[in-house]
Amino acid sequence: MTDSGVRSDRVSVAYYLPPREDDYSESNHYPSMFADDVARDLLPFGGEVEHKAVFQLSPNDERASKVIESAFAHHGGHGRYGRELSSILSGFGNQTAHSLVSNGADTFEVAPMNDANGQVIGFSVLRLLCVWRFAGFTLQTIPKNAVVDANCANPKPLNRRPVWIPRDRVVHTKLPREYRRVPSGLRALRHMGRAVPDFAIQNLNPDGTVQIPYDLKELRGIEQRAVATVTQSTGWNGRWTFGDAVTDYYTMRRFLRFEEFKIRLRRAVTGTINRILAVAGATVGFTAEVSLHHLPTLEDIAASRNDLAAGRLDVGEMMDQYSIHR
Amino acid sequence: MIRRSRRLIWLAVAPFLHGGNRWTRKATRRQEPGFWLARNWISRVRFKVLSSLFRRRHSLRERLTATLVARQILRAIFFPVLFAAGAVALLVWFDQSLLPTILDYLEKTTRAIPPESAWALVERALNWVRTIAPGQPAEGAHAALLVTGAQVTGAFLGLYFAAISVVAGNAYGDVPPDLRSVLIEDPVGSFYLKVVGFTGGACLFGLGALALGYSFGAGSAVVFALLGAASVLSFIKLGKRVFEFLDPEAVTSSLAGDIATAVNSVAGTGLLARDRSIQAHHQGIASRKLDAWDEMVSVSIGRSQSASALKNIGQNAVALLRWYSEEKLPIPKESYWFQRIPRHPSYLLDGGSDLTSALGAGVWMFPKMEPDQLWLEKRAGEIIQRVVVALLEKGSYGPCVEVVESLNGWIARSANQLRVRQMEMGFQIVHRITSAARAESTETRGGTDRDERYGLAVSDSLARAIPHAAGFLYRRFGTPPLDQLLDDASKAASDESVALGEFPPRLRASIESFRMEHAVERDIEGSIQTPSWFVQHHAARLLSVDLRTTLESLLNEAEQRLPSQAKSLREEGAVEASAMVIQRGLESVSKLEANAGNTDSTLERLKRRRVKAAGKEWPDVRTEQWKERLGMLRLSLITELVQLTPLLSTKPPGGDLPDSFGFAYTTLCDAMIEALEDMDAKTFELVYPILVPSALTAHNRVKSELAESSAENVLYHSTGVMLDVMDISGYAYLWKFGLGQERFWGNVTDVWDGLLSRYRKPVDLITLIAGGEDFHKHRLATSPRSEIRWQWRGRMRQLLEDKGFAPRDITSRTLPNVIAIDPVASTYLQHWRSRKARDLMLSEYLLKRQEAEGIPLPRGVKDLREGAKIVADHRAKGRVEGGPGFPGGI
Repeated sequence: MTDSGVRSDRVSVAYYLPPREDDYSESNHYPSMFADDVARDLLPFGGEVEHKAVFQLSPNDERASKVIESAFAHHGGHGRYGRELSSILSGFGNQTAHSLVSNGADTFEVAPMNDANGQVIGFSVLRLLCVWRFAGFTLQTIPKNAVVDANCANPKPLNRRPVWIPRDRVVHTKLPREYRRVPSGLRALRHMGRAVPDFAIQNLNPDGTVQIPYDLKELRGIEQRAVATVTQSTGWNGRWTFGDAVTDYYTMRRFLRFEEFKIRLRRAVTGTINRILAVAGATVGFTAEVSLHHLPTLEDIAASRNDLAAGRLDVGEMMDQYSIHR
Repeated sequence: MIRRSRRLIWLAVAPFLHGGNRWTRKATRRQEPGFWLARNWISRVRFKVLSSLFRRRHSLRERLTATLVARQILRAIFFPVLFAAGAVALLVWFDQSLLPTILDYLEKTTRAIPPESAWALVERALNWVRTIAPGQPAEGAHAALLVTGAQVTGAFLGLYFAAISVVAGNAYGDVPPDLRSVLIEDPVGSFYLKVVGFTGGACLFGLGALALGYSFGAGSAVVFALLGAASVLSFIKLGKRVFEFLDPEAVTSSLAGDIATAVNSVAGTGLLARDRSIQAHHQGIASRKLDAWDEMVSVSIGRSQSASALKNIGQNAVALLRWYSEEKLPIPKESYWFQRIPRHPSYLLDGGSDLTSALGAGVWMFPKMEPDQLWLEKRAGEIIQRVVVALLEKGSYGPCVEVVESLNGWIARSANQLRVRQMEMGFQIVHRITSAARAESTETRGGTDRDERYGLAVSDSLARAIPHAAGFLYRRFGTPPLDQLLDDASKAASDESVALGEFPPRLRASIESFRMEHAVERDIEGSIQTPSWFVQHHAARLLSVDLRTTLESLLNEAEQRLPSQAKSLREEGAVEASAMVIQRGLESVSKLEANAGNTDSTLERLKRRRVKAAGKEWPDVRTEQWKERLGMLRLSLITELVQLTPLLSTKPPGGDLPDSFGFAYTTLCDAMIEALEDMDAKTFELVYPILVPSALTAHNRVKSELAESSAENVLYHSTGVMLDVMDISGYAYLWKFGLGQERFWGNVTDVWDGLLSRYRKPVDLITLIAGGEDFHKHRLATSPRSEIRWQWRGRMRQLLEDKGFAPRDITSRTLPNVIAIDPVASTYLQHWRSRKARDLMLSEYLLKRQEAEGIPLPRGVKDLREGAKIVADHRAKGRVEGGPGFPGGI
């Protein structure tokens, strides 16, 4: 319960997972880099491209807009009420995209917000960690290292028992079907990408020379090829990790494929938001949907591909065309 | 053991525990230390296997070489052995078949002979023969054969070593070890020694067996006899071969063969060729052979070998260069065949983690060992340089020129193939030869009498390297099959079976890079994604870079070498050689101008392959810059020629040497016309003061040359050269009064004022020129000089047309430019076709001088003056030239 008497009627348990040691090391290099690149460029910070909002609500209901803003506001690290809807949804979208490309799926509980009288005045969107799903049922588990989330509205001592989340409150989303193997593939590379491999550091001679006679050039080459094949469907260029090993033309093809991936991901994220709105609307009493505008489309990609195949495309112009930070 | 097994199992299983594909599995496997340890172990085993394989192959190759020679030897000894065996067979047949038959027959027929008859004596003789007949082997025959075999082989071993010792003592006694190894490591000699040693050993063992009571049959006797015969007869061939080691040419040919074997061993695609250790081993072999070659040059110089022998050593080195330039193309750039040289990184550009480490440790950034693609060329170049300098020291100019010409051919071929670095290496060799020859000469002769020492042909052939290469560059891309080349490049990028030999180096490197990139694309996508236009774009770009770089490299070379070389030769007194260099320099300018134009158009054609999506970077075309640089080079050569001309011999040429003075005078005249065309008063002022006295010298030389000719002919030809200067001076007058360029005419009058003031009898000179002009006017013939002047006239007319002073039709009266100018110039231009420019010089300067009073005016001058007077009168009366009733010139 908040000072104003508004309380979230959540079923799930709020907890906090302290970061593991690995999270701060060089482990997870490629997966985190990929997720960061996707989340950074999926939707514009501030929710605007050339001062035009990318998310638009229909019907344009001011009350619904306020309710939605307050529901999504604490996502994306901009937990401040009163922000523009587009900006808030962009933050939420980027965070969801990060979660999707890291884990392949994301689950939310849509919890009603009641006032002191028990009247539903809004809703909150809660990202659920450690969720098991089967046959349409959702079970939240509490890991051993979980601690009480001091930032949540009603901190309680943690009960380690799993919690069933009612089906009508859960919104579950996944990566588009063609990209579902990417996160697991990247996880296979989580120990790679370091300046010096672990085994070399662990097997040093007293004079500082390396005991294991490894070939760094070959190691890098194979790693790069592994990254390129794993992310082949998404077109991610690995921050030019393997730029020297492929032609500029192929790099540009991948760039367009990555843009296509982001467009499809934006659609998935938008669909997720609309499903949340549908669930929340049924409880709070509004009907609203959001749609995306002023961002590249699949038609743009098709046109660019044709131009590229015909050799008409300029690299610089193409980069500008798909830049969302304008 | 268990621990190791567990590690191996983990290594095999770990990759499959993760998701991903075969590349992620490969990458995962490489994160395990066990993988690298196992691989290290495998590579050590592999190295052992390969080195064993290599040793066997090397041994086999040596045996093959020996076998080849053995075949030759066998061919040589076949008939002697056959004859010997035939003779033995005949004897055997005589002993075993013929003689017993005869004896039996005689026995039958002599049974009835009484003992007291004469036939009884015959029967007794036959009985004695029967005791030695076949079927009753002589006791100890085998032992005798084996003893003889052992003795013979021992004797021939001794003989062979004696022959070797003679060669070693005489030719190899005081040579460095590398060269001595040529004799020691001779595979054919070794093979012979093995065969002879084996035969001797076998004979001795045979004797031992006999002593122990064993016996041999007929077959073994034949084998021992054959081996013994082969040992004896082979010596005839091998003994001669030993003495070939006294011949430097034969030795260098053998060394070249060894180097070629090493190159072929690393140019393939087999396991051995790809192994770094084997590559480095072959590089070491080739390097040692080159050391031996170099020492052979030293030895040959020290022993005062003939010029022909030295020349052959040099020619062999050039031949090696030519062969190697083509054969090395399949060798990968990173191969350890290429000697590693340290390259120190730039602190300002390379930096990175290396710089951080170096600063942290307080040491220099470590140099990187990089392959030197031209290591063999450098070594061979040093050998050629030493040979040529030695030939120069001997005064053997002919052989020297032959070697330098061969080298020029290699340089030109490099230019033709756009192998810029190789071409520059060739120029460096030529430059070093030039410098070394000059230093040697200055040291020994004090820098005097250079021509005799240096040899005109040598300096000419050394200076010819640049124009020769320029000519070959033009030949390659004069009518370039560019489209085909680019299509081939595109195909080669996707098809690894296409050979890359014909592609220029940069393009070849790019295709190799594309092949690797395409391989990655295949691994990721399953097929090549990059379209052919992308490859062609980059192929065209790199070809443009190669073309431009080659042209600019040639231009740089010409700029840096030729004027300075001509100057230093002049300063050393080698004026004829200096003239040769200037001639080659001007030839270079001419060819490079053609190349610049051609390169420009080729680059434009290549630019059509440029595709927007393939990148913005494209080499810029520097046509104007090239033109300007070539103009500067030409001017510097002309400037040098101006200083050289007064020093050149004015003796009539004998035909055995080029006519340097004639070349200088004619070239300076041409430079004057070009200066007029370009409105370049500076060059005019530079050359004209030298040209006028040179014309007088040329006049005198022509008189000497034609001393035995008729007086009329002498006058006609000797004044012809004076008229060249008169024509040029006449154009200078027109340039002042027509085009407003006053400096030209001002310079003409200054020079002539000075000359005539110094001349003892100026009236004689003016009379000679005026008379010569009149004489030429009346003689209906053309001289070689008049043809040249006719060409100048065409060039000048073109320029005047462009400036609006001479129309294409017959009259120019109505041209406003012509009407407006000085009456004399106007009269001349109005009747351009019937007048000569020298009339202007004669009329307006020479025959106006005080000294010219009383000299009869040539007809052309009279006509010109009368026409000018009419024009002036009409102008005074206000009548318009070219208008109605205007009479015009005469």
